[in-house]
Amino acid sequence: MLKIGVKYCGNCNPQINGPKLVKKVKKLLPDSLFLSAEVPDIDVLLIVSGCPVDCATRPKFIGPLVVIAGKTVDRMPCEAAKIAEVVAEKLQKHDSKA
Amino acid sequence: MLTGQEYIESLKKLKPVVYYEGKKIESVVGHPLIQPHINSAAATYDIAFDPAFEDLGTAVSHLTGEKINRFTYIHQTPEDLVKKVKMLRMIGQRTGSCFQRCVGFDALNAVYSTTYDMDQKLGTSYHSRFVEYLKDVEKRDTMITGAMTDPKGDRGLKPSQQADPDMYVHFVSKNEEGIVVRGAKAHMTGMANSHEMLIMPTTALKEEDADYAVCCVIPVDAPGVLHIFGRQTNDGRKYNEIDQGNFKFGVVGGETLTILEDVFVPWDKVFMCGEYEFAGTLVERFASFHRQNYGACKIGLTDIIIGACALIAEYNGTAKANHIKDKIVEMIHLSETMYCCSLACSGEGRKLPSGACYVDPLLANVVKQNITRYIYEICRISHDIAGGIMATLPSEVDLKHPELGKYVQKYMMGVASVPVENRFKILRLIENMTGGTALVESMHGAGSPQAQRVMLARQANLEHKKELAKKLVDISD
Repeated sequence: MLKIGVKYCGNCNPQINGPKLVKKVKKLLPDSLFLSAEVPDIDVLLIVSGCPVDCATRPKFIGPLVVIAGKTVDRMPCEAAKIAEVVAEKLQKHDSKA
Repeated sequence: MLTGQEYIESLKKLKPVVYYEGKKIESVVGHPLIQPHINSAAATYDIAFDPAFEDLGTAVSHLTGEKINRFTYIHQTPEDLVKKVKMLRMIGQRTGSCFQRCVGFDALNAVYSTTYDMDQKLGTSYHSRFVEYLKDVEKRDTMITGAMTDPKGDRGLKPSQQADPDMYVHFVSKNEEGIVVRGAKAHMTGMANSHEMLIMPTTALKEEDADYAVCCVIPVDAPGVLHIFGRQTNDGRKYNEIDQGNFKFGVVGGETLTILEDVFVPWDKVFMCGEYEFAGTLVERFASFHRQNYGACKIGLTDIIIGACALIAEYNGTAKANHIKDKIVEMIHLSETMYCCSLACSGEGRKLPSGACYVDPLLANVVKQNITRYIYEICRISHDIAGGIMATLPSEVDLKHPELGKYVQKYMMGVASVPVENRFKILRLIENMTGGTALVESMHGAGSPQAQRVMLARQANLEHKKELAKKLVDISD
């Protein structure tokens, strides 16, 4: 089971609804476990920043990272409606058992 | 850290003496005048536990390495100051009202760095004493009222020259156990629902006013402390939901006049007692930290006002008019301009000798000076967009009245598809967020406009600007 740590920015002036987006990603990856980014032994870290400033504090984690920052995924612009899908695909690549 | 509910439970254990209109309030929790302010302050606790907000709502203590609520944190870097600004905007978006806790937050930061400087110069031991207190604050997640503003009496006279010596808080005696303070603090935001107050001097002081150089912590329910809860322009509406506009969180901070009638303070809670030469530093630092906030929390509120204006334009059927669209853009421009200032004074933050980080005081004062103008302009535009009905709308009772209700429903309808009650709610929200007590708070909260102008004149280095002009046209003298 892929263990995904989720870290939000704090959402002061978000261009996207981060928690809602993560719910969509969860639906796309029903076999994955979404955890707090502070939990040890996560496989991949998902940063969810509400805007491109991407000020979410990075937790201590060495490993793969997927970053949503406003309407971008890993710095690439992404249509709002497709963000969840793109993120799910990227996260799934880190599932060694997939 | 406490949750919002734990904070509310902790208030039930306190017994502050609070009066309103001559009557004693037996319990602040559950009282219709104060509960909205408690709800608002509780939001500062809840954000620390919500994954979507905790990055802003928490910090790591530089004293213990523990995760703490940011409202008890001493800023270490300019990034911390930026996080504070973002946190305040985020909470403001959720409460639509003052959440009060920034005043104590700023007081902690101002006292931390000033006591350090004091000890360095005077050989006192206030800083280590304050650090011990701060550790306790972090652990207990205390809500502290920053208590600076004295009643001031005759503004043309110094504290010791006043006809009544109690116009400024002062110590009247001291012994081996502690000190006794007397006086009052005016318009104390969140006082009735705080745990403790952090008393500070209200102005720079000279030797003859050394007795007024007092900084100390007092529980809100200490013997000799009395609070008189202030009136608000809408407080007659506290028993109706819609008419209040923001019934969950209220308007501004729920201010008190707090009287200190010979209150004893033990030495371990005293952080200045007679060191008059540091009163000005403490005031300036507190004021600058507090003025930083206004381009943050107020922007959370203007986010709501702008949204409410866009909605009422839709409900009124005017949303497509070009002048309405342009007025909304103007509100956005004004709002983000104020936010820019708060970010700027934070980004330009610098380390003080204590290691704590301090905002740029010139830019922080620009923030607040802009608030005294731009919030008024935003509110003026909101009244323009909402229409006069905002001020003359029938009451919620008449809207729901068995006989009158049908007329109110019929004639207060805007766009037919929008329920009349929704139109009422948004109009009342705009009315209560943009007038009366709420508006005046933008003028005088964190200091009146002239206080900022004094700071601007002091900080702006006018001589340097004159030199620039002379150099450009080859004037040498």
